[in-house]
Amino acid sequence: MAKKVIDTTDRISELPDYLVHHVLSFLESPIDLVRTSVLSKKWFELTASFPIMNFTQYVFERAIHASRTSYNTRNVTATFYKYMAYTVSRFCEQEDVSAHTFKLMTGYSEPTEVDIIEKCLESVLNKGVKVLDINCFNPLGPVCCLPNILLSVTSLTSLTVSNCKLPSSLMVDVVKFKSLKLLELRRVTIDEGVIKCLTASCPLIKTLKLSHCLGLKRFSVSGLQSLEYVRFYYNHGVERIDIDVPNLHVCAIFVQGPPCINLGSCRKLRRLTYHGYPFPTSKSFTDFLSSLPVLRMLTLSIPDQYNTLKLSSLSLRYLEIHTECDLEMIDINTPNLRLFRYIDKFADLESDFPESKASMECYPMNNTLWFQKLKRFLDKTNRFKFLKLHLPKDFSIDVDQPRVIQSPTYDLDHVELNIRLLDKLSVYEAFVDAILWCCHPQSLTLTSDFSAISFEERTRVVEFTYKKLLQQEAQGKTNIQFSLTSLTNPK
Amino acid sequence: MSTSSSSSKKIVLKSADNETFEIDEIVALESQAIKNMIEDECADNVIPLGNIDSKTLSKIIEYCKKHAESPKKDDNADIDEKAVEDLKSFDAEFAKVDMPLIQDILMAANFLNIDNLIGLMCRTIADRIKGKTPEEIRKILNINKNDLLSPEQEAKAREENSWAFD
Repeated sequence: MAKKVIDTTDRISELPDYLVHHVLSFLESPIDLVRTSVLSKKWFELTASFPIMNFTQYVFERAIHASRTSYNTRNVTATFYKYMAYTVSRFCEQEDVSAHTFKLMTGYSEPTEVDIIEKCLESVLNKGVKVLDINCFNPLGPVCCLPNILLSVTSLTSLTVSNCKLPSSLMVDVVKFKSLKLLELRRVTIDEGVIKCLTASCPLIKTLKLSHCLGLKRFSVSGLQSLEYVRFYYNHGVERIDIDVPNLHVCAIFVQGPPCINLGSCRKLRRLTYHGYPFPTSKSFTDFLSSLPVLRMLTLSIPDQYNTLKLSSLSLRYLEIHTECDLEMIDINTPNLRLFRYIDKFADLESDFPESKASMECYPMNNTLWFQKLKRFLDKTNRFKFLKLHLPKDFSIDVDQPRVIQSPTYDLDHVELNIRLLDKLSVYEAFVDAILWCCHPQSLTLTSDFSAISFEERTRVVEFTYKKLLQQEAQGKTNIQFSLTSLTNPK
Repeated sequence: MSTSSSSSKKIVLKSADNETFEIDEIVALESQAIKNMIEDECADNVIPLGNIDSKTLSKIIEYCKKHAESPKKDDNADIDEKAVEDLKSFDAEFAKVDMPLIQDILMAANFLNIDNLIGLMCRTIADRIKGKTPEEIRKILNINKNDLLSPEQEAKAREENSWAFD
């Protein structure tokens, strides 16, 4: 076998250019990127033709500040624009190249700097680009205008525009986005015609996102066979939303004001998120759901002034309600539901998919009657086998209060208690008391950070919980399991 | 390489230095190139890989085995977090080899078309040159000394972006 003794081959320069470009794509710091350009003749060319250009001002400034303390800060912004202009012109001098990604993110630019941005954009768009992401936040200066040539970049697959003006010829020229799959506009002034004009020329569009846009009174999309995902996020002044897209799978709508919403023919919709004010009435909401035959996941945020919710759906597997509305006022008829989350308005949970058995997850409110309501809800719904409870901050409860009603407790397979930081034992004990008053679990898990309490107190937690569970056993329950999980390692 | 004697189909790979490796077909399918050969039925019992030596090939097989065993992302919506972590730490260990071998693996992975492995090797190379000076990077990558820019060219390139050089 031939064995090399000392390896002195410059293998990396033998690699195809695209592999070296792949290596370069992992260098996040512009400093590293620029340094590789002087390694050799080969690398000088490779960096010039590198088709991924990322000019994120804050990343650039942070990299410079981190690398040298003596560098004159006032020059950093000027250096950033110079670096961008240099890199873009070097790239555009190459023959037969087109860019893969051009990402630009700037803030508070001088008029001359906006000029540089627009010139660079024009040059790159002339070469062609697949992924374009432009964000020029400039509330105190001129708004950056995207050049007209943008509309004829047929290679675009992803276009994200924030805080810029769309090309002035948009309503006149033919838009040629025949490869576009993702379109996202943020804080851009648009109207109904713009959306029509942009999407009408995108046969492949899969994802459409609009957020904080201005000027859109009516949002209307229809047809678009490839469109699967629409996100409509707090666009100012919208009065009407019509989405009529046959293959839409996921739709998220966040609105203020009184829009009229019509999802009429989105019969393939599987997941809907609706945060809105005002909320449709229960009647119209039920009608609304009945037109969505395969809806599996629904997330609703209900404004304070609405105090009832009634919904029924055969297809629904996952329901998440953000509300302060009373649990007793919620009436759900969802025979196939696997996970129901009833949570605070602003709680943010990971949306993992339903557990194997029907589960309910909630944050108890700081309200002595809450556990009574939970119990009545469990009885009424009579579906849930798992219950996961998060101990709210500043929880306090009048321990005797829940005992008012004497009715059989609700049987559960499992209860999971999630307590971010267990510090007061009396609070914990009241919490466990209240839970075991309203339900009888076969097993219980406690997850918490125990670092705030002593070893003795931890022992007390275990003993107390165990004793409480055994009391249930005395009442005829058997096979009770109790497991404890710690977020930090207990000593 | 010990393989469990299962009934699954075997593929034999032959390295440039004529060493043979018998592996499960499922492991071989991690390579898009081999997958295509099998699908087009143009793969013989033994697939000769004339440009990959046995040292590199055995590393690649080690990688493909591990990744073939792991649950695939698109199989299931909720993938096992532990499996993902396990694979990550495997990858990190796997990449702890010298630069010539990394480059050999990268070339071979490119030839065999194993996407994840190409990405892992490229990221590893990038990680090793991050924060280094051009002189240090030349040593790490063994850059050919006959290919250096002329002193004037290099001085000019440095001057254009003087902020990136100390």
